Amino acid sequence: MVNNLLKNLSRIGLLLLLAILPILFHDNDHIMNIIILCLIWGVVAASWDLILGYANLFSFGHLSFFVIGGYASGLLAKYIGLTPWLGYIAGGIAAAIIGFLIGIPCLRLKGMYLAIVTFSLNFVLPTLIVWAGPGKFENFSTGGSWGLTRIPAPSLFGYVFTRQELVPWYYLSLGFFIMFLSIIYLIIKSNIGLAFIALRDAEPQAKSLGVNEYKYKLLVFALSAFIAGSAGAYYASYFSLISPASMNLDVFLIVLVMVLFGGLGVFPGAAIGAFIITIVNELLRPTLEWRLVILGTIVILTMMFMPKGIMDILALLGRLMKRILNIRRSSKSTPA
Amino acid sequence: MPIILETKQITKRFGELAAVNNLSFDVNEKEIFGIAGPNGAGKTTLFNVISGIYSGSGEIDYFGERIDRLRPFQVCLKGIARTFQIPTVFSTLTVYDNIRIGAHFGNHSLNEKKIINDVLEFIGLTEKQHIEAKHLPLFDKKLTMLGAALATEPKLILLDEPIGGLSPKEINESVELFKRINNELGITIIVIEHLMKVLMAISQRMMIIHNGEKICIGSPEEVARDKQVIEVYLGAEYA
Repeated sequence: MVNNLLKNLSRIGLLLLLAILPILFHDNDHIMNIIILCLIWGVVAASWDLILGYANLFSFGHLSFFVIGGYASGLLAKYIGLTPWLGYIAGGIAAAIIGFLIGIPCLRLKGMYLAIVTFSLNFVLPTLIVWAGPGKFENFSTGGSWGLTRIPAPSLFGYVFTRQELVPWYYLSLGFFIMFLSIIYLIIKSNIGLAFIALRDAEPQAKSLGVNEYKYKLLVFALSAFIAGSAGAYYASYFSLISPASMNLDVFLIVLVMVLFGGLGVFPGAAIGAFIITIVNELLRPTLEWRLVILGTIVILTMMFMPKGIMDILALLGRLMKRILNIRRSSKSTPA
Repeated sequence: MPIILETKQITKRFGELAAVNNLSFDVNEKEIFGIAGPNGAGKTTLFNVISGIYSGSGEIDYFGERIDRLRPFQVCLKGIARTFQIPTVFSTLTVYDNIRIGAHFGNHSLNEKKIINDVLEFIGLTEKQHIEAKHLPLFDKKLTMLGAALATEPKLILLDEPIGGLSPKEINESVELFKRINNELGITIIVIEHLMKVLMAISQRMMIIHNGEKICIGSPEEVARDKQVIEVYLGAEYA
């Protein structure tokens, strides 16, 4: 009872906080931009957690799906005139197709081997993007190492979203975040999520109980890639830019830190991790190259002392609150 | 009695070692068929070959249909369920969801909820259905694993040392449960067990394997009298 009440209260409080944030920060573009990034990386981290934490597949090429989604929607918008709204879906579909294809050779791989194969995407994809740059395809150029620029922003009822006004972008991002987090939650709670968890907890037993492991492994590759790709398309339309730098090693590491710090396979840990790490990363900017050292230390400490990441801390706080409330209640009910 | 499972010269090699070697035997429908043998005799390997986790050579027929090229989930959908020697449960899921896995994925029935509730009742874990499986004691873990297998509504179930590590009281309860699975649900059982007393009490027929090979097959009395079985497995006190 107390537990449920606390959970619901904290959920409502969190949503209210998210809804009124612009009132506090609307005239500070720097802060608004960071909050919008929190929301976008929240989606990316949660989609990565779906395959890493829930399906327990060491897919280390997840950012390439993000970048593929950005390029697919950006190219379609620039050269064919596809509206960004459809671009968000198209970017997701493009990433899901690549995710599915990557999944096929990965079906029989586990652990380290799967990690190595998928990690190689981080080197293959930027090379392909640079290769397909200006001079190669005049009418469909990726823009080479500079990246694809001037990607159009969406418009709604005649209003065109612009970087000059971040409050509308914020609410759009919040809607995007809530929609994808809800989808991820529904997947986890559905029979599809049940299959992921079954294969993670005890694969031979899951198979012997009728779970078709190939089907669900391909499905988790495609689903998590779709969400990352859609987030990539959204990111590209927000910055009107997507470039190979979006999957540099430091970006990869930071997003991995988000997932690990948030907690593997404990929804919505990864999204919370994304919020905290995005902000911490911003605060650490003055430390320059020490930033990665500090983030690395955070990962080591997380892995050692709270394997479920921030969710361990939240569970601890929840227990504490419960104890405090219970003590109050029992002291009230005892007659004087 | 018609034959439910027939294996023809199945062999499984790990490098030079033949863990299962040229093994042929039949199991009749509705019987309890016991398998015993020294450690490393190839009993669990045999189950892994039948359930499709390993692929070996030779032929396995289930109701006259070849199943030796099927993947584990397909073997399950044909109607063969199994449990594991080490009690494996889906540790982060509740007892209910553990059984739901079998009812949903291993069973094409539309009446998922009824099957789960019936199974919970049958194994006696209705009251513990909301407990996360990792918090269960050993016996309840074994029951949960068995329940998930039963939820696939199999015609044949393979039990791999189902009473290992249990107390005498729990062993008695288990044996009663196996008999009910066999009698009430009409499920054929192949059971691997080290406790010869129990195995002889519940099995209609038994097979003893040693070094991956069959050394004797027959009724418990026949097996207990077999000279080779006494020599390699039972020891003198059974003679």
